[in-house]
Amino acid sequence: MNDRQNTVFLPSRLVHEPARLAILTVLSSCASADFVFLQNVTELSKGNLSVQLTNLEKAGLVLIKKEIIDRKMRTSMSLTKRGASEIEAYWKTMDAIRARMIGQQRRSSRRQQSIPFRPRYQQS
Amino acid sequence: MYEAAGAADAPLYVYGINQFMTIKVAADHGKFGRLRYVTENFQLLQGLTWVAFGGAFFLFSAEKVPGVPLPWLLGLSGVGLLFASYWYFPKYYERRFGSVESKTPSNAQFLTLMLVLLFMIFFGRAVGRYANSAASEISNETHRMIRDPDHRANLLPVLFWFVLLFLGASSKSPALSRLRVAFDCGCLFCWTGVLTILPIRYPEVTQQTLWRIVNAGWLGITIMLVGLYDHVMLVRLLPKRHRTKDDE
Repeated sequence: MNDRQNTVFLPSRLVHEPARLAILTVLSSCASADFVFLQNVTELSKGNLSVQLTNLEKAGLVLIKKEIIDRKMRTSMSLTKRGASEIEAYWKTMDAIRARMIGQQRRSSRRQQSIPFRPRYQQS
Repeated sequence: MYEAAGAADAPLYVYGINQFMTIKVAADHGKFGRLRYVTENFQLLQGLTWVAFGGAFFLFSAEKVPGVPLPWLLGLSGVGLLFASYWYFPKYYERRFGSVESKTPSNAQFLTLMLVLLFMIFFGRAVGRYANSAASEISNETHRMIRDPDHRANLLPVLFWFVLLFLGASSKSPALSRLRVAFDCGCLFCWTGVLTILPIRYPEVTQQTLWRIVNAGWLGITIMLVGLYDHVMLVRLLPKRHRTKDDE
């Protein structure tokens, strides 16, 4: 097996964080969602959610829209095109890693021995 | 993008990119499956709206049954429930859980819908005539098979719950699907007992007003039951959060 076959691409650091991943997963399943719904579904506190959303907005993954409806401020979020492609790529990478690891587990259980993992990170 | 060489023999954990999260956690499709399920089906899971709509449907059906006291009151209550299902409950859900705008249908879905509509406009009557005669033939044959030539038993609820059971069993989320299948099986057995087996074994039950009301309003009761199940499911999936210091 050569080095190319052994290579696993790891996902972006920005997406690979539980709170941000949850936000992006929710937004990828709808056209837009408001702050209250995101808070309920992700079970994050107001402050944490707000910070994560700001980070995602700065990175250009999420679009935040504020509007006044019935004299009340309503904040709704949606994914940008880049955000949609990032989260799609993330889940594809994860599925590939999972499939590969299931294969490895089967192979290693056949061999009945464990080989230590030595990761080597390179910035591309 | 980072790459880890030599990962072919790697165990499940990949640290380094984020100390607090492993690939195993990221690949936890159960949690993220729940998020996707709730977001995609948020409108459908607003069950109390369906409970009110089903209640109205039940009352409108019940008021036509002969011997029902105060039918005008039932009709009026039905109108009240219709208003509640349209005005009150959607706002209640928005206040409690927030709001979601669903994805717009894709071009392929829209095209399919338009083709079906065009087909129904041009061939709807012919299909309807054929379907009517075929349905009555199948119905007669089935009633003969269950020794009910007088058509006392109502087979529609059984057929309807079979369809719901099939849809529930083919749900994407296995955990949700198991619950749904159990619920659908329970309802299927109840309806089969009350509306199919009972009138065959005890024909005199069909003379009772209560049985007639249940028989006439089975669809309304079914909508209410499904709505109640969906509401409980939504509340379980989105439990009420306890306020933290950070929220204030």
